[in-house]
Amino acid sequence: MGRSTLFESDQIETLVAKGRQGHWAPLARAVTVVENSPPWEVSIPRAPRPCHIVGITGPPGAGKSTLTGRLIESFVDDGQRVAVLAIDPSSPLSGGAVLGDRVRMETYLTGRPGVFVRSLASRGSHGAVAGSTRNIARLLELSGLFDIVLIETVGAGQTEVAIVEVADTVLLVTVPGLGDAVQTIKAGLMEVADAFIVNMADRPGAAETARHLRLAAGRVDAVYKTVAIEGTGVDQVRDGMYARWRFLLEEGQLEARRLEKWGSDAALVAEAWVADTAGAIALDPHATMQDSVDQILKEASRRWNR
Amino acid sequence: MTSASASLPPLKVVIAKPGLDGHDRGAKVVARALRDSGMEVVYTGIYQSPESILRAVVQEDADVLGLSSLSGAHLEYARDLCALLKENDRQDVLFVVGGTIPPEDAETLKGYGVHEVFGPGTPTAELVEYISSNARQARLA
Repeated sequence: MGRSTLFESDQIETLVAKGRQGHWAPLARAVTVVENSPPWEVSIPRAPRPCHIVGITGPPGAGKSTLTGRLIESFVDDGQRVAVLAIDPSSPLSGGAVLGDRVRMETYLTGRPGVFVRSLASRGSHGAVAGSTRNIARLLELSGLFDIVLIETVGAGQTEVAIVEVADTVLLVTVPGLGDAVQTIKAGLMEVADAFIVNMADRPGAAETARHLRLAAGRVDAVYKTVAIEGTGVDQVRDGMYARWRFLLEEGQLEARRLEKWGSDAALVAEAWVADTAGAIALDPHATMQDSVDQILKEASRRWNR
Repeated sequence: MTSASASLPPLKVVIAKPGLDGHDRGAKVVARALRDSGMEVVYTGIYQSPESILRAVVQEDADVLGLSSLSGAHLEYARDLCALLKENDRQDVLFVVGGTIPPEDAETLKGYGVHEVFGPGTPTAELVEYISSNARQARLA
């Protein structure tokens, strides 16, 4: 064992050819392989052409799935090829999960056979995305079958910022009435968003929420107001994403952003590798913490050099 | 082997409700029981067509398809789904049907390619046991 390339170029060619015909089974199987492999054993070649990876995050019940469904509709009907990764939490007790994001999206999939939607369980990852999300997004990008990949995170509060490691653009979906203006200047998720969406904007307080967000967030591109269930305001979000993508492509902005994430990405994979080793060896509970850490790192290095 | 690769990944199950049948308490009870036994359950929601259920099975790369039917239309939907699964090279999925299925229909369903049928009052433990011990076999066969 050790470093392994999971996909030969002919496998990629097959799944791309099948995908072009609307046969998603080979791509879906490839996603499973990536999902079930430890991230340090996954090696995905760089895509010749990038696609826009958009993270959709925000608190549970804010309407992320419904909005994602509407964005599928809006993008596809405008000629874009769309893939969706929808992440829901795994049980900390059983490891199982109920993945319910398709419920809100099904309506928008009928008659749009080019859309690929995959539900993922978070599997013990704490950042509101699954540990395999980045590699799966890169596989989708490599296939060349999509112009845009939407990643819907687990319902996220203030500190689940891992989506920013994966996405080129982070949309933070919120709703009116979730708190006063102080909430909008707190550190965390608010800071990493590239644009805000005030969903359920037909509810009282929407204008005020949008105003607070505009005042608080100097660096974001835009604050959108949507009523996802009716489709109101969704095309504006779509057009904003086109503008954002042009901005990212101009003058190497995308390249710079992705390079910036590379180190932290590698650190996350290494961390997972160390954690995996730590779980597999018996540690002496009476040793000092330093000795135990040494033991873990030695064991990890030994395995890596096998 | 590392600990992460030593254990099998969770089974992925699609639970679907076809047609004009809005009663999904049973489907949700089953989804939760499977979740509690460590499976990853994709719930599609109510009013699904055979085509949308097939799409979920294929895109989710499911190991198991559970069809919940309380409307009496189980024969038509199961037959259509078996044909679609075959056309799309996914007859390796373990296909189970649950709900108000008359005992005399169970054999017909199995004739179409359904692996097992679970009637009203089936303990969830029995369902979990059946899926756990048969799903990988169906996939590898």
